[in-house]
Amino acid sequence: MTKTLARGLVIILLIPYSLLLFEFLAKDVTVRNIIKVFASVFGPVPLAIFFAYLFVATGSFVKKRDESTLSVFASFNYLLVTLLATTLFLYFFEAFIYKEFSDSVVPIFLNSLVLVMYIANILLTKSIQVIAILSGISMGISIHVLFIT
Amino acid sequence: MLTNRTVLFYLQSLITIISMVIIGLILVPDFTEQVSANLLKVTIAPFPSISLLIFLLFVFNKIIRDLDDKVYSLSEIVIGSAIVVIISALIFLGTGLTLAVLQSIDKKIFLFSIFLGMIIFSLFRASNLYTMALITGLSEGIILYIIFRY
Repeated sequence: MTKTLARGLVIILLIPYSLLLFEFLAKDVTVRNIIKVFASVFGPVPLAIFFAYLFVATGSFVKKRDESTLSVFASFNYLLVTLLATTLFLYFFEAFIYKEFSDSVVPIFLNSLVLVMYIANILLTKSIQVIAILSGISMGISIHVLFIT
Repeated sequence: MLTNRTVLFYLQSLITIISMVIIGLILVPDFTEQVSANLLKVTIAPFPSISLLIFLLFVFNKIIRDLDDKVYSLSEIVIGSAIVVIISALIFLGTGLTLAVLQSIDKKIFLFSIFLGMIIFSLFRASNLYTMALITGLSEGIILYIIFRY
C-alpha cells in the first residue's frame, strides 16, 4: 500500500468524523459540550502514545505483512460484513442498553479511537484487512448516528 | 519523529498533567471564590506533598531509567496493559467518590499535588514500562470520566 493511499484514507475518514462533531455541537454550544468534544477527540491520544512506547523498538514482533496476493473482492467483503455487523450491533445496543448513545459524545470518541488505530496500523503493520475492518466500523457508526436514529 | 522512548515518556507526563489541570478547573466551578475564602489553607495544602517528594528524591538516590531501545516480551506487554486497564477503572470510578467525600478546596489541592508529586518522582527516579503504564492509566481514566460522567 502506498503512502499516498494511506493519507487519502485518513482524510476520507475525517469527513464523517467532522459531520459527527458538527451534529453534536449544533444542538447546544456550551462550555460543557466543548470540553466534552475536546476530551472525546483527544481521548485516545494517551493510549496511542502508550502503544507507540510498547512497539517502538526495532525488531519488535509486530511485523509488516505482505498482502500483495489479497484480492479486492475479499477486502470488500471484510468492509461490508463489518459495516453490517456494526450497524446491527449499534441498533440493538441503543434499543436495549444505552439509550442516549446517539445524543452523547461516545460516537466521536469511538471514531477518534478508530482514527488512532488507522495511524497505528499504517505505522506498524500496513495490513489491508485491518484497514477494511476499521473503515467498516467507522462507516457503521456514522451511518447509524446520521441516518438510522 | 516520536521514535524515542524518553520523548514519549515526557509527552505522556505532560498530557497527564494537562488533563489533571482541566478536570480540576471544570469540577470546581467557583475556583477563585473558594481560594480567596480560605487562602491560608490553600497555600499550605501542597506542602506535605512537596516535602514528601523531596524526602523520596533524597532517599531513592538510585535512578531506574529503563527507556532504551529494547523489545518487550509478551508477559511484560500483558502486565503493562493490565496496569493501564486497572488504573483507568480505579480513576474512573474513584473520581466521583473522591469529589463527594472531599468537599473543601484545600483537600482537593492536596490530592492533586500528591498525584503531581508521583508523576515528578517517576520522571526523575523510576521511569520504565510500569510507571509509563501508571501515568497512561491516570490520564485515560480522567478522560473517560469527562466523556461519560461529566
